[in-house]
Amino acid sequence: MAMSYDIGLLKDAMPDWETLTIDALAKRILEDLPAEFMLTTVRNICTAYHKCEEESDCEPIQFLRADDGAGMTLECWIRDTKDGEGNFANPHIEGHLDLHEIGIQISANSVLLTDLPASITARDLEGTPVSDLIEMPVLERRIIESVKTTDNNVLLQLSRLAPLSWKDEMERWNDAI
Amino acid sequence: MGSRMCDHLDIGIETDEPFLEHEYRTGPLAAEIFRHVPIEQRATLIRAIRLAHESQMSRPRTSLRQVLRGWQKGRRVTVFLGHDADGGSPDLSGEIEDVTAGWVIHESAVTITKAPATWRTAIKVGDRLDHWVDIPVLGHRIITEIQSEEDVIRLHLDGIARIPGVPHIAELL
Repeated sequence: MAMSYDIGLLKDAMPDWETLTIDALAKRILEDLPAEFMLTTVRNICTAYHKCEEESDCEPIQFLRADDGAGMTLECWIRDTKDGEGNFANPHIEGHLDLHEIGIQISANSVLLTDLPASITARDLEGTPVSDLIEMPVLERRIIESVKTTDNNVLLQLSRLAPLSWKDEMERWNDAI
Repeated sequence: MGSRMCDHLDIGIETDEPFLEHEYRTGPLAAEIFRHVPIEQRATLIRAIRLAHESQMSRPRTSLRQVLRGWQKGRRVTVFLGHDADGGSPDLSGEIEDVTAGWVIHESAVTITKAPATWRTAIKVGDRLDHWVDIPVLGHRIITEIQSEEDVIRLHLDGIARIPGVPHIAELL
């Protein structure tokens, strides 16, 4: 019989899975996670959420990190969102990808570059597919809506993807809850 | 997610305190469970142990916190973090349950759920455990106390030295 593990503290509090949202990048990261890590990940989402709830003005809490040892790290975070009146609305899971060897950080709706090739100007990029610059499945069909540059960084705001519903999108995971 | 990425996977929230492995003690059963935990699960396990230790700091030291549960070779395994009675050092203890064989083993006791009725009167304090049940992971232990209720017999065993650190898990970090 195969070995399986469920690692972490007992669940003190759980997010409201009905209202929990997840961005496209975090969804991708979690979907790529082998099945044997699902129980542990769900347990640690609960621990992170509990900590988030305990603190009055909680910063996002990281609950997963991985490093391929070849210049890429990925992370998942959970945070509580607020509605228009400043009340806590629902927990939200975000993904983050850092290709630190080549100076690219990717989030669901933006890409941060530490440098642009000299031949490309910010104006050239607006309205173009980001896949023209970076070829990654998670960035397919995403359009650069705006570009902000500072001395060393270029922030590409992408066509915005709305948060996804955990309940609807992570069906395979709901069995681990 | 490639297998290489999984080797460096680390699930759980950040801890505030540094990990001081020399403070920890591990029971032989917990060490046996750790021995089988695959490398890709070890960073996550260390993180869970550290979080449990942090969480223990604000609770009565007698409480146990579960840090791992799972299955190894058809047996249910569980690891708890507590603190030893003397100096409050974090202490990891294991529990292995074999439902088919009808026993649960703890660091200092065995619970037998399918014992023949005659055992209740036959087992004596001072007997060697392996005279009655063959559970190699417990080694040669002496029965120090017997409790029985209906079909369940609980045998308390003589003490065994804890292992310094968190064997098999922390050494690869």
